[in-house]
Amino acid sequence: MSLVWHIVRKDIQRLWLPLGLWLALVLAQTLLAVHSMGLVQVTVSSYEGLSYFVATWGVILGVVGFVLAAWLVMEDNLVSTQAGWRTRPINGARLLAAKSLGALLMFSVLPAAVLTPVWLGCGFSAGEWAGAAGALMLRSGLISAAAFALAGITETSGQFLLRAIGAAVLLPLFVGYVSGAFARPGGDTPVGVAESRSWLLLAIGLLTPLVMLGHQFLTRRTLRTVAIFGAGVVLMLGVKFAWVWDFSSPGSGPGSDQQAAAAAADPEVKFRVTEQTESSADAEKNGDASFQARWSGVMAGAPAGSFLRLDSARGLRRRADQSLATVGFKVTAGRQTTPPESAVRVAAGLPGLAEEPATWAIESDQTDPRGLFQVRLTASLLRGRVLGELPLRPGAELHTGSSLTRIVSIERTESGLVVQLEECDAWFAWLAGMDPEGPDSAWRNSRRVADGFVLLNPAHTYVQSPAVAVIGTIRVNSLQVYRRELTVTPPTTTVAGVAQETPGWEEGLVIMKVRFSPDHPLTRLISR
Amino acid sequence: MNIIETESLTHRYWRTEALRGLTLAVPAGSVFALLGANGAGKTTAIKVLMNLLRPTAGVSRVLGVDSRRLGERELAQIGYVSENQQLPLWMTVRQLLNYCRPFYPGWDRALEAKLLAQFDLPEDRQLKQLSRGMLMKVALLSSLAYRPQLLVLDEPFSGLDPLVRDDFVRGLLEASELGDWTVFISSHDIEEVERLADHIALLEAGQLRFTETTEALLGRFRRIEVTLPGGPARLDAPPAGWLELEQKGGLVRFIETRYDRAATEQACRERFPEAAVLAHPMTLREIFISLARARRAEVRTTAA
Repeated sequence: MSLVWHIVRKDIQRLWLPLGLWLALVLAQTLLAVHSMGLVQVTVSSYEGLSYFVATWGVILGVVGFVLAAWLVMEDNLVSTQAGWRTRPINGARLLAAKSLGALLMFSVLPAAVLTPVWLGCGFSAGEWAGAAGALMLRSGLISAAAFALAGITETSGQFLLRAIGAAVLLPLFVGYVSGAFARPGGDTPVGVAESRSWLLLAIGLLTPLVMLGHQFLTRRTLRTVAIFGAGVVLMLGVKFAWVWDFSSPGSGPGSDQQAAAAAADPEVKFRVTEQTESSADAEKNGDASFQARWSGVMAGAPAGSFLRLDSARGLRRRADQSLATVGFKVTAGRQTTPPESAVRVAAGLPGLAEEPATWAIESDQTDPRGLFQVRLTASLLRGRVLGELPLRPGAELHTGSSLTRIVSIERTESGLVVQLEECDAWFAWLAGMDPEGPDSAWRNSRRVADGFVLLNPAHTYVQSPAVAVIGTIRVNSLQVYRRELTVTPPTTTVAGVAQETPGWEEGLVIMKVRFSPDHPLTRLISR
Repeated sequence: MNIIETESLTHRYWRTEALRGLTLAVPAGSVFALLGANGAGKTTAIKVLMNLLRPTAGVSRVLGVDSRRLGERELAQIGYVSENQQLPLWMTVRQLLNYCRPFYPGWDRALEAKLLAQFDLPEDRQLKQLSRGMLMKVALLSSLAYRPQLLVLDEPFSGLDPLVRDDFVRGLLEASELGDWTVFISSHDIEEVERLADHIALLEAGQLRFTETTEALLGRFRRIEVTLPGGPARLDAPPAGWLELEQKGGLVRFIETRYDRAATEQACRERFPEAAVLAHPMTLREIFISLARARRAEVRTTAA
C-alpha cells in the first residue's frame, strides 16, 4: 500500500498546478453562482445569460477534469513501449490502484473539500452535505472512468485528442440509437422486454469501460482491450436487436400496477377522469398511427394545508398476444410548481379559502388504438410547513437550514409592489432531467418541493398570497440559486366612492415562506 | 549460466518481420553487444526481452524467466537505459532518485551517492534542463544504484557528441568495477562497443549473423595484403571466407574472415606462389563495415 501512496504522491506532485487551477475554477464557479444575484442587473435575459455562462463553465470544467484524469493515466502510459515505469518493478494492479486512488483524491475528495465551506456556509445539513459530496463523486467517477478507459489505450496526447473528439460525437449517437432515445415512444416491444434491455444496456455500458481498464492495466495488451470495447458495442447491438426476454421486476405488469395502486391508495384522495379520444375513421380498422388519447379530470381530497401534484403518466397497451407495450404520454396540466393559495394559507396557520379542486390532463399522440390501454398516474401529496418569515424591507433575510431567502428590492409599480427575492437552496443533480416525461420522471418529479408565500400584517387584517414569477435559476454543484418576483396588490379603501390604497398598509408587513415537500406518492390506474 | 536466452525469437510489426528466429545466449557477467545497422532489429529484440513487446513466435528468457512474465522481482534486478526512454522530465534528479528508490529493495544509497559524484550530476536541476548526455547519465545512475544483475542499454550513445560519449563510456567502465553485473548493450556505435564488450552479436535485417567473443571475432578477421613479384594474377574462385578481394597491379588485397596464420598463408601460396603475405589486424568498425558491404553485395546478387 505504501508504494501505491508513493505513486499517488508523485502524481499529485506532477498535477498540482493544473489541479489547483481546476479546483480554483470549480470553487469560483460555485461562488459566482452563490453571489450572482448581486452581480447582475437582474432581468430574465441577464439571468438566462448568467445561467448559460455558469452552465458552459461547468461543461468546460468537466472537459478539463476529463483531460486531467486522462493526464493522470498517461503520465505512466500503458501503451507506449518507451514508458519509463514499464521497466521498473511496478505491476499493473498496483498502478491501477494508485491511479484510481489518485483520481478519487484529486477529482472527488479535493473538490468536495474545497466546496465544503461553501456548502456549510449555505447551511447544508449533514445529509445534504453527504448528498452533495455523493453527487460530486458520482459525476467525477463517471468522467474519470471514461477518461481512464480512453487514455489507457492511447499512446500520445494527439491521439487522445482525436479519439476524445470522436468519442464525444459518436458515443452519444450510438448510446441514443441502442437505447431507443431517437425512436418514437411505444412501438412493438413489450414493456418488460424494453425494461430488461434498458437494464442490460446500462450494465454493459458501465461494465465495458471497467473491464477495459482492468484488462489494460493488468495485461497492457491494447488490441485485446480495444476488442473488449468492440465486444461491448456488439453486445449492446445484440441486446437492442436480439434480446426478447423479460427479467424486469414483476412491477411491470398491469396486475401488479393495480396492487401498487391499491397499496399506495389514499382513500381521501379522489381522481375524476374524463376521457377524450380522437381517432381517424379508419384508424381502428387499419391500426394507422392517427389516434390521439386525452384524459383529464380533477384531483380532490388533499387534506388542508397540502395539495396534489401529478408527477407522471406512464401508458401501457396490452396487445392481442397479451404482451405489453409502452405508450408515450405527457402531462399537460396538474404538474403545478406553485402551491394553491388555500393550501399555503392553511399551512401558514391562517384560515383557508374555498378553492376548486386541482385539474390534471394527459395526452398521447399518434399511437395504435388497438388493444387495451392502461395509464398509471403517479401523483404526490405535498404537505406545507412554514420555513419562517421576513420583514418586508430590502435586505431582509430568512435563513432556515440550507434555504436562504433575501429581499433584494421592493419596487412600486402601477400594479402594486414588486418584491424581488433571491434564494439559495440545496439541489441535487438527479432532480434534473433532459426529458420531463422520461422513464425516471415519476421518481424525479416526486422529489421536488414547491414554495408558497403569504404576505400578512401583525394583526392579520391584511393577508395575501402574492403571485410568484421565476426570473431565473442557476444550478451548480448541488446548489440552486434563483430569483423570484412577488407581485403584491395593495388593499384599497373606498373614500367618498373612490377606491384608494389603504394608507399605511405596508407597515409591519412580513412575508411568510411555506415549503411544500412530498409526503407520500399516489398511483391511479385508468384504462380504456 | 546465461542471463538472457532466446530461441527462434520472432517479432512482426503487421507485415514487417523485424526479428527473424533470433537464437542468442548472453553469459552471466559478460558485456554483450548486439550490433547492427539502423533497422536491424536491435531495439525490437531488446523490447521483446524487456516485455515491452510480445514475441510473435519463439521464446526469450531473462534471468531464467519467460520475458512475457517478467514481474516485479525480476525487474528489480534489471536496469534499463534506452535512448528513447520517457523520463519524467518535470522531476529534478533528486526527485527521480527519491521516486525510484522505494521500488527497489536492494537500492544502495552509498552507491547512489558515489555515482552522483562520479557522474557530476546537479541534484536540484530538473531533467528537462539537462543535456542529453546528462540525461543518459541520470538514467544510468537510476538503473545502477540498486546493483542490478542485468543492465540493458539500448543505443545509449545515440545522439551524444564525442566528448560526452567518451565521458559516458568512461562512467560506464568505472561503474562496472563497482558491481558484478551483466551488461547487454545494443548499438551501432562500434568504437564505443569495442571498448566495452567482451561478446559480440551481429544482427542483419532481423537475423543473427554471428555471435562470439570479441577476442575470437577480432582474431578471425584480418586485412591481408599479398604482394605478387610477377605482376597481376588470376583471381577466380577465391575461398568462401575472403571478402572484398581486389587487385591493384602486383598487390592483391582481401579480408580474411577465418584467419588462421598458417592456413591463410597456405591458401595464399596455393594461388599466388612466391607471393609475400602480410596480415593486418582489423578494428571492430572495419569488420562491421566489411560485413555490411558483403551483405549488400549479397543482396544485390540475389536480387539480380
